[in-house]
Amino acid sequence: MIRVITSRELLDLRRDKRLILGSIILPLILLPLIGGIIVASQIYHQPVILIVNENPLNNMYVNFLASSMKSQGAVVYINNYTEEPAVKLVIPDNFYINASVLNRSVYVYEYTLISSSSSASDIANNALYKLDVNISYQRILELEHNTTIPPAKIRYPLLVVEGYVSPTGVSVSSKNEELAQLSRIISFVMFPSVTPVVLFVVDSFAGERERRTLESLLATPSRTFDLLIGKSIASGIMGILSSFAEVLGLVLFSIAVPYITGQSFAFSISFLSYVFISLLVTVFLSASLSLIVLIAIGGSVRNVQLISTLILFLGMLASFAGMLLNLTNLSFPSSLILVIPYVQIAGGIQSFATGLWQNAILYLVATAVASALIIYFASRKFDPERVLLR
Amino acid sequence: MLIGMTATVSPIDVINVRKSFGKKQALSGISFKLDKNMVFGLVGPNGAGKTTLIRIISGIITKFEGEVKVNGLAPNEARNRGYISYLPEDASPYERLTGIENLEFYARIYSKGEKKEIEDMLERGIKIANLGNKIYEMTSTYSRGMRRRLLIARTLMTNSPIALLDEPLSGLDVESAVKIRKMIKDIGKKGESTILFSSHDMLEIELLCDFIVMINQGRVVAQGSPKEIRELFSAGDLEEAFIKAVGAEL
Repeated sequence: MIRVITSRELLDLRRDKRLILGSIILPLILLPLIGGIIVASQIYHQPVILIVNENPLNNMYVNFLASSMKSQGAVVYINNYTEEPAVKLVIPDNFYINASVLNRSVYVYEYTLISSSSSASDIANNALYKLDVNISYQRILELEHNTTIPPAKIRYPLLVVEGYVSPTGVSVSSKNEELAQLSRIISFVMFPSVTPVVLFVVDSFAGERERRTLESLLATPSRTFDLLIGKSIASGIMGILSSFAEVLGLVLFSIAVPYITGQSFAFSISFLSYVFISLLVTVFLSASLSLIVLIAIGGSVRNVQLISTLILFLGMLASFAGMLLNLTNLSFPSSLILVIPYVQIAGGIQSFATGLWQNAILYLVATAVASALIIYFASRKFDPERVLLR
Repeated sequence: MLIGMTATVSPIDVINVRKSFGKKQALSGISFKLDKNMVFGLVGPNGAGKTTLIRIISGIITKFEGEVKVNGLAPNEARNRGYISYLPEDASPYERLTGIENLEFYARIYSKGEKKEIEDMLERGIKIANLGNKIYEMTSTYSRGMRRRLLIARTLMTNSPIALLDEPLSGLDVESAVKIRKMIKDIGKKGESTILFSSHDMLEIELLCDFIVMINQGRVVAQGSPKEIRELFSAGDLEEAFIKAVGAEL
């Protein structure tokens, strides 16, 4: 009976071209589009910086700054400009004299246009830092006559040896750190991406009610449990396809990231497998939560909006918890946040990335069992009158 | 007055059923009992409580006062065993499925997956619907009359002991209504199922039904064969009988 109901649901969904377009193709192109916008912003909106040089004898320093800023992608104008600059650097008349005298400070005036891109300011500050280093080197070299100490020892007295440890104190590689960072990004995008499953589950009852096919179905010999499971499986399959489309979009976006930012992420088969299983459990949890709320409050159009908002709210909560919190080492009562639906899945992904695989498996199994119990409870409490008439 | 009582299990036995929605009393103590294999008419004006009563008999509404037995079982138990086939008043077929796919879906549910039974049901459904090659097209292309015929075929093809048809002819053009009425009458004559047919159209009920229960404002105002009711109220037709039964003035 479950197969009969699932097949009918899938056939119906498959023939709804608008639904396919909205639920699979749009999530697939969403993230690459965002990536494209970022690339476009890099190419077509280069930061513009103006250098005002008040004395031609400062040229050596001005040329150094201009060259450094151009190499970082900025458009640099000296004294005259055709585009409105985001940052203006004023090199005063006495700059070259102050730079060459050991005990004098060298002033530069930096003006940043409010509400402009922060990248212009970053580029300018970076170039000024390099100039600062070079001037200090020149001064150290002048002092070198009186000492045998190499300038680098004076300039860089602090050496930092970096390493990473897991929450249990075990040393791990930088790859684990990259995975931990990636797990936060995945948590952030994963939960909103499963919202289509909520819509599919809710529509499988409320949509049938609206299309006036539900009442006949509720009077057939199909058991409530079969009906709920059959509809949930169909919705789950569509939800997984929709989520996959979004994940595929994320992968495409990730491939583009190195070309945009010069950074890359470390992937591993085991980590991707864990994320895949987490996605399935998340879909299962979404289906069970949608069902229990639908059965509790009824299947009217207003209730459908309420259910979608409620579950999206929980998903957003988990997204931000996964992005902003370290869920692997919470102490009581902060750890109670893990009881909130979806947050424990974010905790599981973080745990796996940081090597706490026992916790990761525990979170997933507990969520799957809780989801199954919710569906069983929903089938026991299913009241056709409430779903049909409220 | 209970006409049609027999010693065997009644297909539908309704005993003092009451149902309210909030403060609104939809049914106020309805009782009747039916014989097997007859076409039974539930008649009354809009808002009389016909749909609520049919939803209780079909097992969709489970919270009510009183008792309902369908083939000797509680309605939801009878529904689970496939004893009930129900066509709601405002039902629609699945629009992204063809006519035959709509029939097949219900045949699979009622047959519990047995291939021969599915084929028999489909054969019966195609015959009742009488839609020709249109049966293989999406139901979104059907006229209202064609949809109704398909839905009635879907309800009657299952050969369930009890078929509940809630206002199956409402809003149909004359030609479609005549065709469907004839179809229901033919099935009633064959005596394969007990058909409960609700309508607010007294003349339609008089034409089709062997036994009638008239309800008004959630109460039974008369029950019996069309002839018995006419005689009881010394009326020329059921409309006149109903007016007299509710004490209204013409």
